[in-house]
Amino acid sequence: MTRELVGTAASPGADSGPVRVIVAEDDLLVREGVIRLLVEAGHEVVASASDPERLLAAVAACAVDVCVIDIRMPPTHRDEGLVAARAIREHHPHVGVLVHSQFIDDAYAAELLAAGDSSVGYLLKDSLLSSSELINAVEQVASGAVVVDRRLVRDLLERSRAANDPLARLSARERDVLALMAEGCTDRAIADRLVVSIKTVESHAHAIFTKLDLTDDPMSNRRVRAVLSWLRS
Amino acid sequence: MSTRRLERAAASPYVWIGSVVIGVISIAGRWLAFPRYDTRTHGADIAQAVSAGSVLVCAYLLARRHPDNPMWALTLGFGLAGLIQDFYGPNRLLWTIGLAASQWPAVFLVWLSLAYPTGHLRSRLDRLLLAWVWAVAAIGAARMFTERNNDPVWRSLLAIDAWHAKTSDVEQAALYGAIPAGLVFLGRLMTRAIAARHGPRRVSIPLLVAAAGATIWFLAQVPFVGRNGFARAIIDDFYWFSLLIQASIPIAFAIGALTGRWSRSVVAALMIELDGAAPGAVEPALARVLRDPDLKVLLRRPDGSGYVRPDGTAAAWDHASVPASRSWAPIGVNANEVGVVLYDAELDAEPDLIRSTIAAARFALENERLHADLQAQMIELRASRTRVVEAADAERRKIERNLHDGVQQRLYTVGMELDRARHAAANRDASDSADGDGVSEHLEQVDAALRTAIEDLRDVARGIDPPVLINRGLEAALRSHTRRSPVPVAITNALTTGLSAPIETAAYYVVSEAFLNAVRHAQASRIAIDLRCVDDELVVAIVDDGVGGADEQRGTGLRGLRDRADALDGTLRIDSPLGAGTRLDLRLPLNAG
Repeated sequence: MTRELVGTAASPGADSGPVRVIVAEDDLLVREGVIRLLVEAGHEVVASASDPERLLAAVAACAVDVCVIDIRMPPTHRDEGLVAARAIREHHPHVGVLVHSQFIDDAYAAELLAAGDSSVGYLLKDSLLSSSELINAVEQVASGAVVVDRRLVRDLLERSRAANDPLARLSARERDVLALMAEGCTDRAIADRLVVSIKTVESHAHAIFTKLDLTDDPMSNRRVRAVLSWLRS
Repeated sequence: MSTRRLERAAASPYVWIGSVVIGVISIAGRWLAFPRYDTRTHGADIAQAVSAGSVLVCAYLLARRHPDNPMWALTLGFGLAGLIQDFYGPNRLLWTIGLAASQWPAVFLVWLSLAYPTGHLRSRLDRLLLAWVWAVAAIGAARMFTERNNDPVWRSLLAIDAWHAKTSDVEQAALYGAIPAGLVFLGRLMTRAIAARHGPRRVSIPLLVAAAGATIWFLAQVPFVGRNGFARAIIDDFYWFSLLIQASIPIAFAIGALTGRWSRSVVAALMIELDGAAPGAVEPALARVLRDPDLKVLLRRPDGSGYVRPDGTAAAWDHASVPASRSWAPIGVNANEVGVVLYDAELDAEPDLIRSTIAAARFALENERLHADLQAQMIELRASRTRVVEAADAERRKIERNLHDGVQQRLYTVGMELDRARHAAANRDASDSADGDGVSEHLEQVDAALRTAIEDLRDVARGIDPPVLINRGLEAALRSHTRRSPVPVAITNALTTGLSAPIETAAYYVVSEAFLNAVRHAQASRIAIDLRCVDDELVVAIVDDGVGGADEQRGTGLRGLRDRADALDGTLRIDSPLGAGTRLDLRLPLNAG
């Protein structure tokens, strides 16, 4: 699996250069916090916006790699951020979006990930509480990966135990591998995290694709499809 | 003229004695003017006497029965105009008056026909038409100045010799002026006849036919005017026609008298129909027997707070706002007023019919009023319950907003600061291992506590008002809500789209409450939730296989659900036999909320 679209980037933290970011967040203190966090990690915040309109204007005006977007923004504080993120993916395919939300919702996550098979992330806002989590996600989205919050992944895994769904067919180890895939890890990173060889990871991945009936897909987006099928189940 | 003056005039003997005197002068004058008997003249005189007499009798009877309706005065005016324009002398003063009044019968014919049956003109067009006809009559009256005869007796008192040659000009001017008026009048009569076609307004038909006939006859003569003094011939012909029209008025009244008998049979039919009728049946019954499909009953609230329709819906009622084509009558009087009936103004031609049918329906209407009031109270109750639920929902949304966008955001900023502090402390610990004062460990504990606080806050906010319900609809919200259920939940959804927000909110709370009951108290091993739309209703069933025995009387949860269902005019059925699981059936009409 050398030509995977997801995970072709280097492992977290080993990015080649600063990522250019736009921060969209209506709460001033949170926005300043996020900006400082990114700057301290060596990335470049090219603009910030407090509502979707300014966000879209900034995306059109600046050279940018990733937008970090709060899902709740004016005017109605419902899902304006999500709508804006989908618009950005549609009109500026080279710009990645990382949406964060105050609550987990797989409906939102599924909608967002349906917008594209790359450079998309859905994080719970709790990721702000440890800077490395947010920074990693930004860097991975910048490199083209799909990132899903591990808390959402954990929830989905728990649910799959109860309900009659294809995920129930996975072994415990395969679940671990899938969870790390969803977080955007490469095979190498997964092997490091699980302390196994990369060969073992590859065989687990193959088993996952087979069990989720994803064998006839082109190799390039299998991993993404695996995550999506999970979310949509 | 005010109603009181009209009523006083109707009761005044002078009016009637004066009218009889005018009649005698007119008829006697003709006999004196033509003392030698000839069939044509005297035959016409006899017809004239009979016709004028019966019109006066009709006016008198009308004045006795409905002194407040100007129709009697118009009828009297029509009769007197016919008599006055026939003044022949041998008195020169009478002859002059007769000349001045020569067009009055036509004027009164138009007036009478347009004002029937209320005595009032309804539209600006009618008023314009009448004014035009009066103007034509004024031109015709100019004959007073031109009429000259060699016989001094047949000479107008106001005759001006030099103008004699103008006689035929005056007649032609009046005639041409009358043509457009005649056409418009005919049009109005036709629209009236069409409007009266399906109603009970038979009385007006003879009058309309006679007036239309006269007008058509008059217009048909117009092409011959000016040839060989044809104008004169027309006037002679019109004279005979005016007699016919005068005669038609007593005929119309004869029919009116006959329909009085008809109205008694209407009342009898109504009584039979209303015997044991269901609430709400009176209005359609009245509409049927009076043949007015637009008839409306408005019932007065017993507490005097306004009027309602028989089904209890509020109705604004103000007699000043009733259009001219409608009329109204109270049911009962003053303090005992039950309500009002609004009906086609044409029915005012038969006030006794209206009065007797309303009197016959009154008892049923009193019952109807109590029923309507009860309905109205229920509607108000439901509206106020809906308002309470809506206010509570709005409050929940506000609290949810404040938690998510206020408190939680502040906790995140605290968390970010804490993260920096942790990093700083970790760096210091690393560089200065001797000074291991445990700050990092403390900060780790604070971090864990903060994460728990955020988690708790999220659960609270989500329970108060799930944002996904507003943003993604009922099914998504329910799936999200039941996602972490320890008990397997099957959701089947056959919803179409576009439920209104109040319905989704109500359904969401009913399902989530039932779901929590099943999980917490019923020891269920599986839960099934079914959503579907059936016949304009949202039908939701929540079924579990738990211990059953859910009791609405204990605890407020289930009762609160029933309030929510009631507020949207829906129903909630709870079926929970001991040991056999629980089933909740919620039905909400889709047009509610």
